[in-house]
Formats: sequence, C-alpha cells, structure tokens
Amino acid sequence: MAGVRLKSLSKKAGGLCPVFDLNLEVADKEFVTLLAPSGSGKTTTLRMIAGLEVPDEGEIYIGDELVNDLTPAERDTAMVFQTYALYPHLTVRGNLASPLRARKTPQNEMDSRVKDVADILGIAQLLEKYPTQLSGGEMQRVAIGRAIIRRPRVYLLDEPLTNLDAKLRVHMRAELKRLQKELGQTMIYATHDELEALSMSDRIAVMRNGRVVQYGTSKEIFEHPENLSVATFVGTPTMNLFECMLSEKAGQAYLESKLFKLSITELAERIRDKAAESGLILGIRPSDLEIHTQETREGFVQGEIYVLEPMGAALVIDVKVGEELVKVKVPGSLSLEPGTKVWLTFDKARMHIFSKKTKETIV
Amino acid sequence: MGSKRRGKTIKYVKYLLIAVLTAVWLFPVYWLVVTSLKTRLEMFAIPPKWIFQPTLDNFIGVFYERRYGLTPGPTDFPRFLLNSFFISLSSIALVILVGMLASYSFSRFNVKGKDTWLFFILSTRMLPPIAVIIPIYLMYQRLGLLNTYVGLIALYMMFNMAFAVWMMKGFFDEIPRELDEAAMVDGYSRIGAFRKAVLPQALTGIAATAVFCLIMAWNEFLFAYILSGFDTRTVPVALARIRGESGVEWGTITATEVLYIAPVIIFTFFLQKYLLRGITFGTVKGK
Repeated sequence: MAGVRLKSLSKKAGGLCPVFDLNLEVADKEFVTLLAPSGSGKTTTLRMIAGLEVPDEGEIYIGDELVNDLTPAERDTAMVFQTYALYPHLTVRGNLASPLRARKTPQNEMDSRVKDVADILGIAQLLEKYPTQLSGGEMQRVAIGRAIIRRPRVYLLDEPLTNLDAKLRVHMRAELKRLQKELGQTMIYATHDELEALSMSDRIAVMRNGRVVQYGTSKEIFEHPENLSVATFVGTPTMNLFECMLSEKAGQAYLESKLFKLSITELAERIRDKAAESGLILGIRPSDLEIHTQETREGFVQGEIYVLEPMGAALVIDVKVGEELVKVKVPGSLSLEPGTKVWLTFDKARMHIFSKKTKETIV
Repeated sequence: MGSKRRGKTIKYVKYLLIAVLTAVWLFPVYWLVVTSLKTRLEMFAIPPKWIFQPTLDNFIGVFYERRYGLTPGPTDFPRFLLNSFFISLSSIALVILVGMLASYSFSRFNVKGKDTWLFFILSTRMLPPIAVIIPIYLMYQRLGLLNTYVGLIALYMMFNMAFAVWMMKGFFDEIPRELDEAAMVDGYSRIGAFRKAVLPQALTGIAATAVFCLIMAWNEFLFAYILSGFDTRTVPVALARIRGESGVEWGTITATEVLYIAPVIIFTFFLQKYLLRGITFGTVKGK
C-alpha cells in the first residue's frame, strides 16, 4: 500500500500519445482518476507507472521509492488492461494464479487465495473455464481478480469498463468502488467517461494533450473548473457559453453581449484586469438555469422553446435566444411545449466567467 | 433459368479440372509405389502391367543386398537413413531454438535497423544455393568441414533460418503485446513472459514452421551431395549414387524412395489439420 508521485514526467517518443511535464501526487489508499479524451496520454502515463514504458524525463515514486529503473515485476503494481489481456491457454484459475505462480507461491496458498478472490468477485463457478468461453463482464472480473490476488502496492486500471454494455458498466462502477474501499488500495484509473470519474474517484486529474489541466475532487472539478476545457469536458449536457464584454458605466459594471446585459458590480474588481486583456466568456451549466413562463425581474435572457429532449428522469430544453441555442436541464416532470416564450434566470453564485484565453475567474 | 444451368456446368467443370490435376500430380507417386512392388521384368513391360502380383523383394533389397562377387550382406542404407534423420532433426531443432528467440525479438523490440536486418535475413533466401556452392566447398575444405555432421548441420541452419524467422515473426506479431505485458506486470521477467504467455500461443505456428523446415532439410540434395562423404551421406545423395555403382537398379531405387518419402507423407497427413491452422495464423487473440 503506497502512494504514487510523478515528477515532471515526460514521454514524447515511441509512437504513443505524448506526455509533457506531468506532476501528480496520489495519496496512499486514494482512488484517483485520469480523465481525458482518447489520445491525451492517460494510457501512456499508466504504462510508465507500471514500468512498461520508459519515460524520457522525470521521476516516478511508489511509496518513497524511486522506481524508474525497476522492471514491471519489481515495482509491485498490478494492471487491468482495456482488453483484459487474459491468457487464452490457461483456465480462469490459471489466469488468477499467474501472479502468484510468477512469485513461486506454494501450491496450497495459491489455491486458497484463488478461492478467496473468486468468491469476492463472484466468479467461483467459472474457475475451470477458458477465457474464450466467458462473457465480457466475466472476463473483466477475472482480469480484476488477477490484479487483486497479489495485493500489490498500486492498482492501475486502463479504461476497464469501456468494453462493457451500459447496464453492466454502471453496476461494475459501484463494485469497483466498493472493492477499492474494502481492500484499502491505492488505485489509479484512466477513463474518458466523466460519469465514471465523477462517481468513483476521490480525486480527478483532468488531462488534455499530455498535461494535467486540473487536479481536484469531483466537487471541485464540477463546480470550480479552472479553465474552459475542464468546464466543457465535464458535465452533460455541456455548459452553455456566451461571449461577452465587461462594460462599466456610472459605477456599475455589466457583462454585455448582444443577448443580455448582466449586472455584476460586485465582481468587477476581480475581473477588470483580465477583462482588459481580452474578451470574456460566461458559462452556465444547463442544470443551473431556471426556466420561467412568465417574465421575472432578474431575467437573464428571453427566448423561445425550440426543442425538447426527454431523458427519462430529466428533460433538456433547447431554448432559442436570438441566434443561439441555450440548453436548460429541468426535472422530467415539467411539461412545456415548443414555441412557448420563456425567461431564463440563474443563481449568480453558480456562473463561471472565463477569459477568452481559457482561464476561469469566478464561480 | 439459364444461369442456374450454367452454374451447375461450371461446378462440374471445376470438379473435372480438380480430378485431372490431382491425377497428374499424384500419378508419379502412384507409379513410384507401384514400381517398387514389381519385379524387374514387370516394371518395363509394354503395355504397362496395371494388375500384378506385388512383391517385397525390392524393399528387402534396400536393406540386404547381393553384391557381385561378394557374399550378400546388409547395405549401407540404414546408415544413410540415420544420417538423414540426424542431420535434419538437429539442424531444425537448432534453427527453431535460435530462430524463435530472434523472431520474438524482432516482433517485440525496436531493434536498431530492424528493417535492414529483416531484409538481410530475407535476402539469404533470394540467393540461389548453387551460386555459392563453389566458395562454400572451398571454405569447407579449408576448415576441414567436409564430410562432417557439423558442416552440414551448420549449412542447413543457415539456409533455413531466414524462412523460420520470417514465419515465426509473423506468428508472434499475431499475438497481442498485452499478453507479454500482463505477464511482466504479474511478475515474470521478459523470458518468463515469453515462456508462459507467448510461447503456448505460438506453438502451432512454430510447429508448422518446424515441419516445413524439416521437409526442406530432409529433401536437400545439392549441398549434401557436394559436402558429404560416405560417413555423412544422406539418402537423397545415396539414391543418386546408386546409378553409378551397379547398373540402374530401379527396384531398389523406387523402394528406397518410397521408404524415404513415407514418413513425411504420413506425418503431414496426420498433422494436416494443425499445419493448416498453423499456416493460417490460427492463434487465439488475448481478449
């Protein structure tokens, strides 16, 4: 059981997605997710931690030990691959026992640990089967079993749920989280699915183009994105963005654009300097917007319902404001008709203002 | 309606063609076996005798002969057969062992100048052996390698290595790298990962490669003829020399040939399923 520390890690060569100057600290027993779209270097990072890739620069610490020069076997990590990488010529039992066999564990200990792991994951009845006879979910559990049987210091999981169907994925998310807490292990998880990241992790490292763009808890990432790419990547539907300018008149400050004029005098101090450099972007999550059928005083914008997107428990309403479409997320029980004139408001505490050069200023 | 009839006709034509081709290809083999079972007179009968009383005299003659002016005694055939076995099996065993490691390395590692190396290896196959027969003979003579097992085994190794490495690399390429990696993360060294994770998957491919190389070594004539002496003579060479010694004993020749190709035919017949799978890269993917 150990934490992981990555210092100035870089890998540019080798035909993989590159990683630049990566710094990350994972505490012992923590569940950290590397969240990024495909091609951002999360697999590269995991592989470097496992020892399957040699970094061009930087250091990797597991616990307090510098592991750059250790072979994968010596690092005492376990990895669950996206394609599971089960040994086709071995039974499930053989696959599970493989890490133990590699370390020359005595037979009776191997047998008992295989049994324990199989029970924990509910695959005891599959022990004598071969990987080709298993379903996707079963294979994935065997892959996880092979990882946990050894109690390594760190678990590395590379998009393990991507190849499962949706229902199973949701179920396994909970299972993995429970497993991690039960075993008290340090887990580093890579995925492009924000829902997985938000629901499972203690902390999330959002990556883009080989760099960590923000590192924080789920709440922090969702409510306080530090820049535009994090803000738009996390959250479905995507955050609504409006370009605007800061204008000041007679001691009052406003965010102005063709569509609206928003009073933000209280925040003027903080934005002024940044606003001078470039334009601003106002961001509001669809779930933070309120929709009214009657004109209200602090109306933000006014528009017309364009289309409804029912999503079961929730409803996304596309509102046409001027030339733009603004998305609003409301409970599914609301019933409205396209064409209705509506007014949108929001809580100022939940808005995000970005400099046009992708920086966030306030919540 | 017209197309259906055409389809049937085409099918018949196809089958006819296959039958004719098969007959043409197999006829020499058939004739060979049949001749080996005939007496000398029957062999040359015109019109040819299709029905006859088979005799095993020729086969006995392979092992036990009447030598002119000398008492009948065992022939040297067993020795030649043993040489063939020994030389073929040893050279192929070594080719597979060394080639296996080489092709795995080419498959997995970024060897400097990999493409150049691979092309170089392939180029040895482009070389017509007869072009180098004289230099090799002179070389072997100087090194005292004529009429030695080592000499022939080394040579067969050289010529088969290219084919073996190319074929086996293809098989290893088919096995996903992640299997190696999973094994290494599990705790195996590179070699351990190779043995435990990759090799079991590649066995059919490697076996297929071995069989092809074996057949090539088994049938090899030119170098064996030039570079072997009495002690290391292989059967193909011995066959060629029979003609020079006591008239053309077709009976002995055909019987020897039948005996020589029999193991290969039987072997291939029983293993054809695996060989086919091996050639067509029938490895299971690791998912």
